Amino acid sequence: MIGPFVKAAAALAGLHLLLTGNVEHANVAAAVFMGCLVAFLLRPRGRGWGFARMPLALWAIFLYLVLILWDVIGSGLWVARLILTRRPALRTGILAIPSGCRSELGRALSAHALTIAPGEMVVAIDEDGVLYTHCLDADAAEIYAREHQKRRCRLLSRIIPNSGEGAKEA
Amino acid sequence: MKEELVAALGILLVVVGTSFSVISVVGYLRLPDVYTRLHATGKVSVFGIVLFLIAAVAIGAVDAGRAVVLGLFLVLAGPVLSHSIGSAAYRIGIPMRGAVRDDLAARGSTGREETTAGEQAEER
Amino acid sequence: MTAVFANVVGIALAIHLLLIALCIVRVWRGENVIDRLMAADLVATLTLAVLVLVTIGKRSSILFDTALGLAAVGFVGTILLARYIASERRER
Repeated sequence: MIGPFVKAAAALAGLHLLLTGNVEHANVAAAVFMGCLVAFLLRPRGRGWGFARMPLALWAIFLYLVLILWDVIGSGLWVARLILTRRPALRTGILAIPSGCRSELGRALSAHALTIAPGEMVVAIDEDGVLYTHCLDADAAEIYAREHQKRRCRLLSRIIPNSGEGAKEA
Repeated sequence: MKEELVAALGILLVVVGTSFSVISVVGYLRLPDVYTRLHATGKVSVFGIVLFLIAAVAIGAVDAGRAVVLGLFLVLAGPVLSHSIGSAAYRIGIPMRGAVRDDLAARGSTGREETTAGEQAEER
Repeated sequence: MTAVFANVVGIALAIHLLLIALCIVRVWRGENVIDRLMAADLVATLTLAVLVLVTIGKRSSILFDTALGLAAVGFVGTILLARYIASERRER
């Protein structure tokens, strides 16, 4: 019960510090107060800390963020180049890409990462966790996206417990 | 000397960011249908703003914390916006021009997804 | 170099205002509803870019708070409009 509350309060206090931009004692106290107040109003639910797998999860989060940043830069440049070519060779289409994640959070994060990836945009998600993705180059994405999705899902299963392949939804 | 260097970096970032904004609008005007245009507006324009933010931090107009908050928010919100607009377009049946394949149409209507989501909500 | 920088920021502002005008024309006479919605979303994004550019040009962060607010409000507004359009059409 206390774990999610502390997590949310810490995140909110950090956000307050980032937005105000000074680390004097009075401001830190105000940040902690605001964080606790808003976290109390939000009443977050979820799992506790799980200290044992914390380092591994943090490393996985770092790798995941690097992967997303790389995709953001790559997709910006890729789409820009595609627009600037005189007659873009578009082979668009909607592909079904299985997310491989059982939990809803895992599916949502997969859809987010897949939409960031170059030339792909998730249009719909069905109840089996299949992501229907609109691709600018359907033939290339067929191979590329599936492979990346497998790697992403391995990372996600380390960040969120019980989300990988074969795990049961709680 | 240092000020000159920062100004040169700022010029570079502002020019590249502006060109990304122009590219996103050109893509929006040129590409054939709604779904392909979403790729242009959702990704390229965010890229431009992030470059401006880096320039603003480099010349010291804003402190880094707020710029990081805005940049992270844009990167998180961009895909959500693209997805919501794209899914609305598919629901009301806007066609794709020159599509090679459509797995979603082959599977069936999107109406089924809605009913099952409603049933799941009732079960809880 | 700093004078050149001020000029570059001014030109960038002018270009962005031109792009916003183009998008508003596109909202006015778009192909369909979603096309207009996308143009409105693009206007919000470009206005955000203008606010950040003004922040760079004036070297004061007054308008940056406005940019933060605009980002949040524009995000929620676009998603609500998209959901509204999707639900409106199915009921008929």
